[in-house]
Amino acid sequence: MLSKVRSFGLRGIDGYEVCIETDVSNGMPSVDVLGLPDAVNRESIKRVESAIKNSGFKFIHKKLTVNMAPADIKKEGPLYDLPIAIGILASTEQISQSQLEKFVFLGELSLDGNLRGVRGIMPLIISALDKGYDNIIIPKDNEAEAAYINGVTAYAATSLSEVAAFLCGNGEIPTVGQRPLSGMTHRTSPENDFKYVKGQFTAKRALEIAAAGGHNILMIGPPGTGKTMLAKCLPSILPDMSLEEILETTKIHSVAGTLDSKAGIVGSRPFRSPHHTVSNVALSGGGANARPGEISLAHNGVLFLDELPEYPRQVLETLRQPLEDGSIVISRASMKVEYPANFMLVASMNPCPCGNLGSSVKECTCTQSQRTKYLSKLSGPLMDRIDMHIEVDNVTYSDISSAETAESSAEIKKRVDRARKIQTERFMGTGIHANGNMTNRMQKTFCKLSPDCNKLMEVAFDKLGFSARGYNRVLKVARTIADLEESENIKSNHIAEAIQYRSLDRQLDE
Amino acid sequence: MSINESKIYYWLSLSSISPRTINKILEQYSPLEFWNDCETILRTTSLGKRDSFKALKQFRNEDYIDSSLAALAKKGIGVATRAGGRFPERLMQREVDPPAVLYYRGDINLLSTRCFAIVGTRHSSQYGENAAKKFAKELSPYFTIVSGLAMGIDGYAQRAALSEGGKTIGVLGSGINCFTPACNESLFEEVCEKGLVITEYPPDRFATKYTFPERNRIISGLSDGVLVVEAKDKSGALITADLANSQNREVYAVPGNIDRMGASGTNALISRGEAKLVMSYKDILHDLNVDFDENNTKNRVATLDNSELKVYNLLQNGGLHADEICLKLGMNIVELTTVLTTLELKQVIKKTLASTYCLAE
Repeated sequence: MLSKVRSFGLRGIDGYEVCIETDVSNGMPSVDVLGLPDAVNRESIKRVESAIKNSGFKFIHKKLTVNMAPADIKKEGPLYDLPIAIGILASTEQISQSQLEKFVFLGELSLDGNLRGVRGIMPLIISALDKGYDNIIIPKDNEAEAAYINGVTAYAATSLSEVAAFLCGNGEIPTVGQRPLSGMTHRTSPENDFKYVKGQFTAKRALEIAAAGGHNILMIGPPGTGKTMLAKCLPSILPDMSLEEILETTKIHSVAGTLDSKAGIVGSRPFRSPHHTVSNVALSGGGANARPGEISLAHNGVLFLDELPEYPRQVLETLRQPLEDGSIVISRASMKVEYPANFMLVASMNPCPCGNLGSSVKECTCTQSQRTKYLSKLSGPLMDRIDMHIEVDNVTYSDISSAETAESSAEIKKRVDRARKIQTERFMGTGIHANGNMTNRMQKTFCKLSPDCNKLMEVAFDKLGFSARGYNRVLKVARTIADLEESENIKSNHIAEAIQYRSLDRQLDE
Repeated sequence: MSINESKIYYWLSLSSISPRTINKILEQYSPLEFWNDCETILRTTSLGKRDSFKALKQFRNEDYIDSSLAALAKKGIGVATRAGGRFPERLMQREVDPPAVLYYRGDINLLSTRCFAIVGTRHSSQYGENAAKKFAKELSPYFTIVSGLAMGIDGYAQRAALSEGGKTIGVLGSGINCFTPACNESLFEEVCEKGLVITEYPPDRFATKYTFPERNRIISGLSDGVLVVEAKDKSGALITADLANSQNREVYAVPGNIDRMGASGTNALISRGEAKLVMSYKDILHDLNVDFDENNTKNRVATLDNSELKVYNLLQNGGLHADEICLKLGMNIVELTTVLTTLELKQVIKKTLASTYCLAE
C-alpha cells in the first residue's frame, strides 16, 4: 500500500517541503529511489534496511518504490533516512498511518536504528514552521538547536524504534524545552584582551571605531608589530548580536554543519580567519553541494585575512560583490542559492614584500618594482570597499616594559555597544545594522555636514590629494566617531580624525 | 641638398664609436675634412679598432642622412648638433667630452637655462626621498633640475620639480624610443611635454651597462652643480660626482645616518672633501652666488594653537609614528588625530610611509 511522510530539504539557508511517498506492491523484490537522490541519498536505503531490521521490524522484500517529491530538485544529505524508514514501515503496515500526517521527520539513521544529528536543523525547522507544521521529530543530537525556536514542538528522538512506538501510541518522545534567545552572553577567550596590548594607540582606537560601525579595516605594518594579535582581540570588543542577527548567523552555521552541538547556537559574533591558501570556493561558498563559504560563516562577524596580498588575486576579487551587497549568490548549472555574507573585513599586510618599508628599526631591501607588484594585488575596487587603513608600527621597548595597563576590552566594549545601539535605532527597518553598511543614499540623510565640516572636507581633499573614493568612506567613519561620542551631528573634529584613517589612498594614487 | 657640418655630426652619432674617440678625431680634422677623407683618415689613424668604423663608412651617404633626418622630424624627435649653436657653452667644454649630437623631445631651449643636477640611488630610503623632493622643490625656482629619469632619487627630484611648476631635463642612457625603466614611463612622457628629454644615442639604441655612466657626464656637464642625495658605496651617482669634479662643477652631498648602508657613498664623498655638505637649499644658492630672498620661507608656525605647537616642536627632532607622539606628549589618541589632520591641512607636517609624521618642507 501507499504511504506519505513529510520531511524538509535544504536549499541555501532555507528549507522546502519534501514529501516521501512509499509504495509496496507485489512483484520482483526491488527498491527504487526516485526524485534525484544524490550519492548519500542512494545509500540511504541500505542504512534504512539495516536500521529497520535492527529495530525489531521486518524489511519486507517486495517491489518497493520510494519517491521524493518534488521530483525535479536534487535531494542532498542523509536527513531523509528517518522519513524513508517510517514510510517503508507504514506502507508495509508495521506501524499505523493515522499519525503520520501530523509530523515532519528529519534525521539520519545508523545501522543499529539509532538516530544521528544532521546539519541545517535550525533553518529546516524555521521553514517548517513557516509552512504551518509545528510538530517535528528530530534527532536528539540536534535538540540544542531546536530549543531556540519559538512556537515549535520538537521531539528529540534517539532511535527508529522509539519513533515507531510513539507513532503507534505506545510510547512518548520527550519534547525539547524552550530556551530564551535573550541573555545570550558574549563569550570570548580571556587571553585576547586589549588590556594586554601595550602601546598601539592608533590601532586600538581604529579598531574601536571599526567595531562600533562595522567598518572594513586594513592594518599595514612591518612583521612582528602585533597586527594579528590586534585582530584576535577584536572579537572581545564587538557589540552583542541582536536576536535577529543570532538567528541569521546560526542558520548559516547550522547549514554548514559548523555549529557547536552542545550550544546549538552562535551567540557571539563569528571570527573567521581562513589561511591565504584558501580556494575560491572555500571562501565564497559553493562546491558540488552548495555550502556556505568562509564569508558566509563570518556573517554578522569578522572575516580576518592575514597577509592580504598573499591571497590569490582571483580569490580577493570574489569578495567585491559580497562586500557591496552583504550576500553572495552561488549559481551552478543545477541550482542557484543565496547565502547572506554581511561581514566586517579585517585585513593585515606588510608595507612591502620584505616588510620593513618605513620601519624605524630596519632598512627595506625591496626594489620599487617589487613594491609596486606587491601593492598591485590590491585592486582599486577592492580598496574602495575598505573604509579604514591604519599603519601599525613597532612597539618600542619602553612600551612593552611599561607597567601601566591599557584599557580593558570590557571598557571599550561598553562604548562600542552604546554607539551600536544608536545605529540600531537609526537604521530601524532599513535592513542594515551599522554605519559601515550605509548606502550612498542613506549617507545623504544621516551624514549631514555643517558648512564648517564641508569646508574642512574640501580643504582636505584639495591639499591631501584624496580621490573621490575616499569621500564616502571618510563620511561613514566620521559618522561612527560621532556616534561613539554620542553626538547627533558630525563635527569637524570627527572628520579630522576620520581623515587620518585613509592613508593608503594617498600611496596608491602616487 | 648638400652636406653641412650639422649633418656630419649627425652622421658621426650613428656609429657606436665612443664620444671620446670622435672628439679625438675632431681635434685633428675639421668635420668637413673628415667627411671628405673619411676612408684615408680611418685607414691611417691609430684610434680604436677598425671594426667600429665600419658603421661610419656604411652610413656615409647623403641621401640616407637626409631621409633619416626627415623620418626623425616626422616622429617628433629633434636633433641638436654642435654646429646648430644650441649646445650651451658649458657642455662644449673639453672636460665634458661633448656629444656630437643630442636627440631630444621637448623644449630644447632649456639647455641654455641655468641647470642643477640632483642624483642618487635607485633604492632610496624615506629620508632620501624626502630630501630629494625637498631640494628639488626649493631649487626649482632658480634652476632647471637635471637628472636621469631613473627610479628612486632621480624620479622623485624630477617629479617634485614638475609639481612645483619648475623645469626639468632628463638625460637618458638609451635611445629616446627605448626608455627604461618602464615604471617611470609616465614621468618620461610628462618631462617630454613640460620639460626636455635628451640623449646622445640614436633613437632605437638600447641601454647597456656602459651607456649609463657615459650619460652621467652630460648630466654633470649641463649643470652648475651636482647634488648627490643618497648613494651607496658603488652607486652610479658617485660616478656623476667624480665626473662633476673633473669638469670643475660644484658637488654637494646630503649627509646620511652613519648606520645606514644607503648613505655610505654620500658620507664618504663628504669625508674625502669631494663634496660639500648641504643641509638646506640656501647653502647651495649661497655657494653658487644666486640671489634669493632670505625671508621667503612661509611662516606657517604663527597660526598654530597650543597643542599643535607641541606636536610641531616634537617633530622638529625627526619623524615619529602617531603612537610615539601620543606617548611622548601624553596626549589622547582621539585628540591627537584631530591635531595631526589640522597640521597636515595647514601643510606644516606631512604623513609619510608607515604612519610616520614629519615636518613638511
